[in-house]
Amino acid sequence: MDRSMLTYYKTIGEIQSCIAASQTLDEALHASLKIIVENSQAANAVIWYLDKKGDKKLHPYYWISPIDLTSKKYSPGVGVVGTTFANEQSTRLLDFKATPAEDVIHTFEGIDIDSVICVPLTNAHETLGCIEFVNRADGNLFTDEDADVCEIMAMMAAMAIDENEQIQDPWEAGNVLMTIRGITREFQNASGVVKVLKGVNLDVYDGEFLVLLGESGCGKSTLLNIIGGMDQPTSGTFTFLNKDYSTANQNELTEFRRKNIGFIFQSYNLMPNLNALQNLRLIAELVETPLDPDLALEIVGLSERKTSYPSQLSGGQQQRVSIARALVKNPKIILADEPTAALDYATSIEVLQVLEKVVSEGATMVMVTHNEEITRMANRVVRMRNGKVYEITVNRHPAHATDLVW
Amino acid sequence: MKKTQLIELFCNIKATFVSFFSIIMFVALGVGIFLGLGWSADAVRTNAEAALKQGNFEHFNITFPVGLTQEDVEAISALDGIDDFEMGFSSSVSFHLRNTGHSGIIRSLTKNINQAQVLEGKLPKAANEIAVDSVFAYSYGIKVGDTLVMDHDSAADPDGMQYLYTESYEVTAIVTHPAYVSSDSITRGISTTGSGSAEFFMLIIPEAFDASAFGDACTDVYVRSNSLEGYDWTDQTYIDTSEKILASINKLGSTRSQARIEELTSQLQSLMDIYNPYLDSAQKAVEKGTSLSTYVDLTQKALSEVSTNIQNAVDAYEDGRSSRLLSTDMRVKIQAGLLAAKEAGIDTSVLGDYSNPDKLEEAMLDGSLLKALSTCDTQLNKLAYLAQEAGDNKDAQLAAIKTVRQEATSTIDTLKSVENLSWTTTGRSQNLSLLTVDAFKQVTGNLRFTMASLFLIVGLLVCYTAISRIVREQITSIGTKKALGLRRSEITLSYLLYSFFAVLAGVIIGATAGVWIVEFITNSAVDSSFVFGQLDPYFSLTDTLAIGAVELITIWASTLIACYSVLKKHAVQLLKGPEPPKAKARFYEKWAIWQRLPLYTQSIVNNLFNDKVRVFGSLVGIAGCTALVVTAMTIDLNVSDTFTVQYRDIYHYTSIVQLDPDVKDAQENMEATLAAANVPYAPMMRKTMGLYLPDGSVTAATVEAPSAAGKPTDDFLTLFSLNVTEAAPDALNGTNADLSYEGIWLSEALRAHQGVKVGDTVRIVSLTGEQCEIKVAGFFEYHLKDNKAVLGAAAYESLFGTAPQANCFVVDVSQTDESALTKSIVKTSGYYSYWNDKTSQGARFASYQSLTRTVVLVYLALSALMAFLVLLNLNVMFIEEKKRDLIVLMINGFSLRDAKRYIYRDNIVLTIIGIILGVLLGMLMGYLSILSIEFSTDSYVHSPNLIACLAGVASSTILAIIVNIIALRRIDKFRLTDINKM
Repeated sequence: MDRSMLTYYKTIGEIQSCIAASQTLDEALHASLKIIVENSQAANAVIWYLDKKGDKKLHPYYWISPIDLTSKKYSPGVGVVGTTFANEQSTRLLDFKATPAEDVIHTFEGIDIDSVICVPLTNAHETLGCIEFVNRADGNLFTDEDADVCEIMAMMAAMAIDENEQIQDPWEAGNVLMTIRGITREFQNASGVVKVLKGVNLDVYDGEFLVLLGESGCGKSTLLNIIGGMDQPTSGTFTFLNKDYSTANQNELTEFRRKNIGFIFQSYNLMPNLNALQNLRLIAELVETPLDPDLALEIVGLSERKTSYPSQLSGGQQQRVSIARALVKNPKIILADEPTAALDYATSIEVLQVLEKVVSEGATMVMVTHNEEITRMANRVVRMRNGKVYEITVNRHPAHATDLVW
Repeated sequence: MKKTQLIELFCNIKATFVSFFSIIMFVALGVGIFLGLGWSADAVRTNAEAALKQGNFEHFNITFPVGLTQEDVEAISALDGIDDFEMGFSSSVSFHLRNTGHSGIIRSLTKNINQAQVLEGKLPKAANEIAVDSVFAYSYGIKVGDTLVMDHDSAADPDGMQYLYTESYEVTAIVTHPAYVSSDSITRGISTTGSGSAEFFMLIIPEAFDASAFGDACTDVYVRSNSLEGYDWTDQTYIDTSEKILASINKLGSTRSQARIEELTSQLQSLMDIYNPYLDSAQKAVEKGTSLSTYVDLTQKALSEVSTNIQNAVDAYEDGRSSRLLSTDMRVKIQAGLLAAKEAGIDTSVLGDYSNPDKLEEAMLDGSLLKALSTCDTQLNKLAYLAQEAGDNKDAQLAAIKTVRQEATSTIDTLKSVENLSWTTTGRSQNLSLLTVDAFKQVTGNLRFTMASLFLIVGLLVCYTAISRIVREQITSIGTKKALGLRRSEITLSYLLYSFFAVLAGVIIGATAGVWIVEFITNSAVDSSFVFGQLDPYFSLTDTLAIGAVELITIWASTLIACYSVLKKHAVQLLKGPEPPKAKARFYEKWAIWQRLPLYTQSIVNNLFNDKVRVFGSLVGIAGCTALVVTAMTIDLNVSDTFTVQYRDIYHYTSIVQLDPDVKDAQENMEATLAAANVPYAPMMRKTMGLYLPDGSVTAATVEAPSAAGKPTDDFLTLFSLNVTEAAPDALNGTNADLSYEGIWLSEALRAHQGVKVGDTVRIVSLTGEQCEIKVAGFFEYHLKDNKAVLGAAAYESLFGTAPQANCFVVDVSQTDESALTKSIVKTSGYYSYWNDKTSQGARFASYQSLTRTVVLVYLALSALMAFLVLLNLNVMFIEEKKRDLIVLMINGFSLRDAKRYIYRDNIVLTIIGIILGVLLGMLMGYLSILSIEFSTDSYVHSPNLIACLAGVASSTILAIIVNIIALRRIDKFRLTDINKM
C-alpha cells in the first residue's frame, strides 16, 4: 500500500471519529473540513450548501481561507460551484491558469489561484452543496489523486449530515460597512522588516458582532488598529462605506474615527480627572448627533455613578463607562480591544452583558479577544494565524453572555 | 555595581535624557553662577592681594593732625606685633588744570613700605618732581613731562603754614599705589581743599615737605606686622590679630597724643608770650604813625643782625677760634643789635632777660635764643603779609594786628579744646579702596547665593520630578527586581548613581562655565573699576568640590525622597504597575456655577487640583522664571532709577561751583554772576568730615549747611529736598525737616546699614581737628554713593562757633546754556572749580551699573535658560504623562489640534497663575536683592518696578509659548497604536 492510500484511510478514520464526537452538525462539518484541509494539503477550502428555504442559492457554510466569503453565493449551474452542484460531478481545474474560471477569481479575490478542485457534497438522498479546494498549501498543483481523495472526503463529510440534524439556515449578513482586501502591514525594526499582516481580507457587516481571535502576535491588534483608522496598511485597500481610507491623510482618518468609530480599551483609558459623565461629554462634543451622555450611562447601568471619578469606580464600572463613551458618539462600529482581559469572571460577564445589549440594539462591534469562550457570543469569528485570516466562522446561534463559562 | 546594572542605568539615562540633561544643566547653572561670581570676587581680591604684596602695603596707617614725633614712632615700633615702620608725610593739595581746580592728597614717597608701581616714567628724585595717580592722569590727560603748579596756600594749614617747599612740579611718573587699588576717585579720601573730596593722590620725595610745618614731626606712620603676613584682610585670623595690634596702638595713641597736644599748647603759649610784646610794639608803632611795614622791616633787620652775630659767636666758640663764647666784641655787637631793635620800636625784653651774660651764653649754646629769634621772624613775616594787604591805612593795619592776635589765641583755644583728639589708626579693612573690593565681594556674594539657591531649588525640583517619573515608569520592573531578590538599597543605588552622574557632569560643566563664561564676563565688567588692568582669572578646586558636594547631597536627598514611596512597597504591590491618578469629587462641584461652566473649564480646574506634582512643578518653573526676570530687571532698573530719583526728587540742582576761600567777596561775586544768569542756586558750606557713629566706628560724610549769609535756608531746601524717612517728632515742621532744629540730618544709608537711630549722638570731626557732638534729628532719602549730613545754619554755628560760610554754590543749569554759564562762572573772581555733579555722579552710577548690568544680564540669560529647561522638561513630562489620555482622545476623534489644545489650555492657566505668583515673588526678591547689594553708603530705590514686572510677564509669556510649541510637537509624533503598549 502506498503512502497516499495510507493517508486516505487515516483521514477517513479521523473524519469518522470527529463526526462521532461532534454534538452538532456545525461542529461535525467544521471539524471535518479542518481534517480534510489538513490532509488534502489544500490552502483554501469552502463548504458551499444550498439554502433550500431561502434564496435557493449556494452559500458558504464553513471555509478555511484568508478570504472573507460570508456574503458570497452562487446559483446552481452558475460558475464552478454552481456547475459542480448542478451536475453533481467534480470540477477539476488542476492547472487553473490554463483554464481560468471568472467566478472563482472573484470569489477568491486577492489570492493568486493556481489549482481548483470542486467536489459535490452528496449524501444518500441528495446533493447538499459542494466543497471547493483552492491551491495546494505546498504551492504545487492539485493532482487527480488529490481530487480523488477530496471526493471521498467530501462524501464522508456528507455522511455527517445524514447522521445528524438538518443543516442550519445561512446567516443573514447586513450591509457591508467595511471592506478589507489584501491588507499588509510591515514594520521596520533593528533586525529588518517584519511583516505583521500578510494580506488580510475581511468584510464587516452592519449590525454584526465580529470577534477577532488569534494567538499573541498573529496581527489581530494591528488589524484592529487599521480598522479603527489608527494605523494605515503598507498595502491593500481599506474601504468604509465605499470610501477608500487606504491612503487617507491624518485629518481624514481623524474625521473617520470621530464620525464612525467607538473604542473600548482593555484598560478603560478614562480621563482620570474627569468624572463619568464628563468623560462622556468630552467625546459627545465631538459629533453632531451624539447620544445623550446621561442616556448612554443609563444604557450601561451607571446612571447613579455619573459624578464618580474613575478612581472611585471598580474595574467593571470603568469598563462600562468606557462602553458608554464608545456609544455616546453613535458610531457606526464599536471596536473593543480585549475589553474583559483585565476583569474577573463575574465582572467580565457584566461587561459582556452590556456589550450584548448594545449589539442587540443595532450596534456593530468588532472585538479582539484571547478568550475562546467569548466567540460564542459573536455572529462571526475571524481566526487569525501568522498575519492572515485563517478562517472565518459564522455563528448561527450566538450564545448569551450569561451562558459563557470559563 | 554589576555591569548589567550599569548598562541598565545608562539605558535609563538615554530614555530620560531630557530630564537627565535638565538636572545636569541646573547643577551646572547653580555651580557656574555660584563659582563664577565667587571666583570673580576672589579674582579681584587675589589681584588686590598681589598688588598689596607687590607694593609692600602697610597693615596700619597712623596719622595725627598735629604730627607724630620721633618719640611717637619709637614707641610705636616697640609695640608687640609691629615689625616694620616708616614715617611719611601727607597733606591736602589743590591745583588748577585748564581753569578748573582739583583737590587731592599729596604724599611722600617711601623707601620700603607702600611702594608705588610706575606705569610710565621714573619716580621723582628731586623736590620739584612729582608722580601722579594713573587714574587721574589718564582721566585728565596728564603726561610725563607736564608741569603742575599747586595753588598758593593749598598745601598750607589754615594759618598759612606752608607744607611744601615748592609749588611747581614736573610730572616724572604715572603710578599706582597699593593704598589706592580702586579706580573710583571717591576712594582717594578727603581733602581739606576744594570740594572736600580728594580726586587724586600724588607722590613727591619726603624732602619736598617742610617738616617744620608739622612741628618737626611726620604726619603719617606706616606700619607692618609679620603676624599679619600671608593673611587676607578679611580672614578672621587677620581681623583678630589686627584688632589686638590696633588696640595697643590706640592705647599708646591716647596717651601720646595728649602729651603731644599739651606740648604743642605749651609751645604755642611760649610763642605767644614772645609774640605778644612784638604785637604790642607794632601796635604802638602804628599808633605813633610808623607804618606796619616799616616797623616789620626794621624789626626783622635788627633781629637778623642779632641772629648773625649770635651765630658767628657760637661758630667761633665751637671752632676754637675764640675761647669765650661771648667776647666783649661780640657782646657789644649783640647789644648794639638789640639797641637797634629797641630804637626801631621793639621791646627787646621780649627776647628774654639776657642781661645776665651767663644766661645769655646758655641761651646761645642751646639754640633757644636763635629759635626764639627765628620764631619772631616767622611771625613777623605773617605780619608783613597783613601789613602789605592793609597798605597805608592805619585802621586796617591795626585790624591786621588784631587779627593776628585773635588767630594765635584761637589756635591755642583749638588745641585746648581737642583734648580727645588722638591718633587715627586705620587698618586694611578701613582702606577705602579695599572696602570697594569688600563691597564687590559682598554684592557678588549675596547675588550668587540668591541666584545659586534658586537654581539649586529648581534643580532639586527637576531632579525630583525626573526621578519620580523614572521610578513610576519602572515600577513594574522594580517590583520584578524585588521579587527576584534585589534589595531596596541595591535598587536605590542605581537611582543615586543616576543623580551622581548628572551632578558630576553638571559640576564639571558648571565649573568650566564658571571660569570661562561667568567669571570672564564679570571680570571684564569690573576690571576697569580697579587699577590691576585685566584681572587674572581665579579657580579653586576646593570650592568646586565643596559646591559639588553640596549639590550632590541635596540632589541625592531629592532622589531618595522621589524613590522612597515606591521603593518601600512590596514586590506584589509594585508588580501591579503604577496606580492611576486618584481624582475625587471636590467641594466646588457642589456649587451651582460649576455646573454652568464649560466642560473644558471643568477639566482644567480638575487637572489643576488633581495633578498636584505637575501643577506645583509648573508653577515653580514659571513663577521662578518670572521672578528671576523681575528680580534681575528690578536690580538693574532700580539702580538706574536711583540716579534718576536722586536728581528728580531730591537734588534739584545739577552743578556745584566751588569758591576760592582765599579770594575776598568770592561768594558775593559768584552770587552776582549766578543771579545775572537767572539760574536757581543756593550758597552752602560743604565739607567732608569724619563722622564717629554711636557704635564707635568712623566714616566719612559730606556735611552741608546752608550759608548763613546771602540766600536763606529756603533756597537751600528748594534745591535739596530733604525727604524725611524717619525723624524725631520735634524735628519736623509738618512733614518736612526743620533745619532750625538743633540736630543733624543724616542720609538714609547710615540708618539702614550703620544702625544709627534718631536721637543717637554722633561726633563730627573736621580734618583740621575741630569736633563736636550732636544729636541725630532724623534721616532723609539719599541715593548717591556717599554719606551725607545736613546741618541748619544755627546748629552749625552753635557747634563750630562760627556761622557756616559758603564755600560753594549748588546751581541748576538744566534750563540754561551750561557752556555759556560756565564761561561766566570761570571768569568770576572767587571761582575755584565747577563741575556738573549730575554728570559726574551719572558716570559713577554708570560705572557701577556696568557691573550690576553684567551680572543682571548673566542672571537673565541663565534665568531664561533655566526657565526654558524647566518648562520644557515639565511640559515634556506632562505630555508624556498625558500620552495615554491624548492618544485615547485622538483615537476617539480628537484632531491633533484638539489634542494640543487639551494640553495648552491647562498650560495657559498654569502660565497665568505662575506669572502672577512670579511677579509677586520677583517683587519680593527684587526688594531683598536690592538690599543685599547695598553696601555701606548705598541706598537704592526699593520700590517695585513696573517695567521689570512687565518684562517678567512678557518674557515668561514668550518663553511659555516657545516651550509649548516645542513640547507640543511631541504630540505630532504620537502613534495611536502605542495605546496597545500602554
